[in-house]
Amino acid sequence: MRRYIAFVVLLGLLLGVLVWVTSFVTEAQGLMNPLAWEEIYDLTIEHIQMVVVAEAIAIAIGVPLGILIALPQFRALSPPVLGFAGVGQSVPSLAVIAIMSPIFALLSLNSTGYWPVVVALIIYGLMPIIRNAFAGMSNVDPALIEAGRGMGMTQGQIIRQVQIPIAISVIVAGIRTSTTLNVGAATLGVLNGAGGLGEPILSGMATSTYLVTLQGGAAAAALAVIVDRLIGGVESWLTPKGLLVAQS
Amino acid sequence: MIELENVIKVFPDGTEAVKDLSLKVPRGEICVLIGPSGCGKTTSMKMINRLIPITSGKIYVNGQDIQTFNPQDLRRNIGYAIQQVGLFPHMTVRENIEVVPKLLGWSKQERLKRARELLDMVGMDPDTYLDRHPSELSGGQQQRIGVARCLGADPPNLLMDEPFGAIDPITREKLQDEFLRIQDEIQKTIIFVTHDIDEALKMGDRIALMSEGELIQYSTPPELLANPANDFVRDFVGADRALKELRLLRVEEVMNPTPPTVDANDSFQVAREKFEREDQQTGRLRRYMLVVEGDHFRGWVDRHDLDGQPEDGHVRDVIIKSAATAGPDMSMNQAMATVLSNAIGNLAITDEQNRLLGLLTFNSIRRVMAQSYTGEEAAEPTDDDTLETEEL
Repeated sequence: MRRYIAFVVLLGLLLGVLVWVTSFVTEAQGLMNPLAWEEIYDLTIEHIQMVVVAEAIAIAIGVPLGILIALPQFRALSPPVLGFAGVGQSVPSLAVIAIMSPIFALLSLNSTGYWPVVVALIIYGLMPIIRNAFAGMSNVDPALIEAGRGMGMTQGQIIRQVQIPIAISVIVAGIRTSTTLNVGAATLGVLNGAGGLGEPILSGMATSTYLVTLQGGAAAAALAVIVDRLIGGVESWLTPKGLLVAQS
Repeated sequence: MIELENVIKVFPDGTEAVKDLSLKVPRGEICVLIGPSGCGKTTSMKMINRLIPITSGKIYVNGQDIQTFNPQDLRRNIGYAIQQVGLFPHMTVRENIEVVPKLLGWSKQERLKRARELLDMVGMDPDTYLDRHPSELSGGQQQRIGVARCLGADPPNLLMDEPFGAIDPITREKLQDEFLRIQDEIQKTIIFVTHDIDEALKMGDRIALMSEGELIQYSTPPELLANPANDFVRDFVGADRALKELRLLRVEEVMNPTPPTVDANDSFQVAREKFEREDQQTGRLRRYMLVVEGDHFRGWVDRHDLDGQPEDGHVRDVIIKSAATAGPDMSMNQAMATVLSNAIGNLAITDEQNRLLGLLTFNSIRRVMAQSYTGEEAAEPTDDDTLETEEL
């Protein structure tokens, strides 16, 4: 853990130095000043909000779906579901976002702004969640399921009391991957007018005020690292003690 | 009590796994299902707690048709142990043992009391092990917890699928012995699946030998060894079935409880007379005789050593001390090994105070074996003399 904190601090320092040097240069050239940090803060909140909403929905869909297709009676559904989620993942995030706008227009919904982007992020983030939930559940030793059945557990009891506790760290790892990816992907939301940290990145490039681009990029990168570590912490907190002993 | 009546299992792919199996296991007995892989033994076992549905026939547990229960209720009342043990790694030992009691809605205190009791029973200290996780236990300890867990709610019937399969032979022997000791106390009705004939002979009150879905022979272990129903059984039991039978016998069943003896304080003359009297009675020349002092075993005397000795000497002057003795409870295969490694070729059977209880000789072993094989007295000489022809 200490290593991670050191890593984040180092990253912050590096970015700070970069910002300071760049601002020195741009000021000397009389170009546009950097964004106020309050503004960056507001954009960060906007960014977080977008990702959190998308992830919450992706988790609500992806985790139960991944668990479901790992059950023997729904196992036949796993190839199409994983295949579909795989498509959402392998198409570039920019394309997923771009395609949402016409789809929303077709459905006579507001095709710009927040929601098309959120839906795109949901689709983009679903794959790691479904895949990990499926893998975690199906990798539980069949002997344990057999033992549970033989002792008189119902399928629901086996899922809740045996499979999920054992698979939980793999499931959360999927959420972690998905969220970290989406912190990055959400910067593209600006292309559809959804705001977030993509805004300073894009406007900085458009007006050659690279300092502003750097500010947005640094904030997004720092956010991704922090989110990754945070969910990593949740992951080890949720892992049952007996399994930690087994791993060590 | 567990009873199978004309049970048939045909899998969806058409495989006839079990063909018309009828079997009755009386209360308190261990019935071992054994046979080569694919013989249907595990399928038969899993039909009893409905892990595998039967195609036709009836199964009764404690006199009640299993189809009248809901599968979960049925299983909660039949203990279940498997080869892979299947302890839940995220649960402590205590939580593992409490699984079935919890499903049955026992109170927390009752469950804890039972978990402690069961740990004691399988020889593990509750204070040390209750809160450990399975990954912190050795393979043997995990198997013990597996046994404790299947006894969790004290079910009258148990199904055990190679419960001592995945451990080293020494630990396995130990667990088998302990389990038999526990079974003496708890008197469960047990279906025990194994592919190991030695384990079957040791654990089973009865053995059901299966092949290709059919029950070939259902009998007690000695009966299976002595009277194999056909060549398949003979092959399965192995060419060394005579040696296996020795495992099932104890020394006191085979020994001669009233062997001829000489006293350590007898004079050479008296000893020689005793040898001659024995020779006349048996018509054979005896070479060694047991030496006692009062009730106690002291050693052996070789009749050749009596020749040419001064007349005022005593047997104790020529005694051959022998450390090799055996108790009456020793299994015959161990006793046989001791006989084989003993220069005299005979074994004195003594109690803990070294009092002589009997004599074990090769001939007495042969006699017993011949009897169980042919059902008749052996035609060979049956006295306890070993060695008119053998050399030291």
